[in-house]
Amino acid sequence: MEQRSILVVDDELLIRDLLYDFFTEQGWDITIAESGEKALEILRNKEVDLLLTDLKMPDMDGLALTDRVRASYPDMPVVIMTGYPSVDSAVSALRQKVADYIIKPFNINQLYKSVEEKISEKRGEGH
Amino acid sequence: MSVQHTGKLLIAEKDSAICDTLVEYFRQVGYEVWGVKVRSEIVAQALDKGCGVIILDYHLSAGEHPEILDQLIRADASACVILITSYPLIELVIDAYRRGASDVVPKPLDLFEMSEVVERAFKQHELKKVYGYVRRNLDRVKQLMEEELRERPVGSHA
Repeated sequence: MEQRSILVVDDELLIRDLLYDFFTEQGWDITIAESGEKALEILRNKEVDLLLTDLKMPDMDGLALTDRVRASYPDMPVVIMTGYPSVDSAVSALRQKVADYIIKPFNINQLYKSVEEKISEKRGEGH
Repeated sequence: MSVQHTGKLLIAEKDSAICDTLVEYFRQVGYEVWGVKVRSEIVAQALDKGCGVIILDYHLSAGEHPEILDQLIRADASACVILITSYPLIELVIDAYRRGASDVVPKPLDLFEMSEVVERAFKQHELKKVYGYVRRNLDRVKQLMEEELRERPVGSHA
């Protein structure tokens, strides 16, 4: 199986560290960013399979980042994580065709399963 | 001048007042519309009429029968299902879109909002149809290429 690559965007250092360690252990190529602007800058120079982003961040939230990313990479799956779930934001995510909406605190194995599935779908694996 | 729409729309809603109002409204703006108020008839009606978009009352589909949404999507991969619900819970919305719903709209319904949601769903339905067509053709091309490679004598070049 070809190596998976993801970009994780979260303003919380703890979450970035947790996900970096976990996905690195799985042998994935993981890049982290602390803001939407930083994520966009990374994407200009690096191709990734999936964007995993926090919803509530200062400056640019996860849905605004999804919008910006979609403009340049329409096929990139986006998974949203949030510690502040709401019906409104979940419906907005649904309308933006976000691949999944994960509530924090999350079970890391479930998050892994979701992300892995979305990447497999994108690559057309298992068809 | 109002815009006239096209497309086949099914409204599955147990509440007669809501169902009839939606049927009437969407018929007036040009869609071909059918209403169904009984759970057991939803999938058959959607298939029989060839509906590209289905408005589905969550509580008509859920409870002991959450599989109706799955059945609708399995029966026609290009169908777009819009769930409407009086009990918009975050878990419901997440579950709905993991199952493949196109949209979730909390009640009470606003007809203008519903109109936009339905229009968006029909656009999505068209895209899904094109995607399905392209995918089938790519699969066919792949199959033909594999057959040709298998039949080609070892050591020959194209």
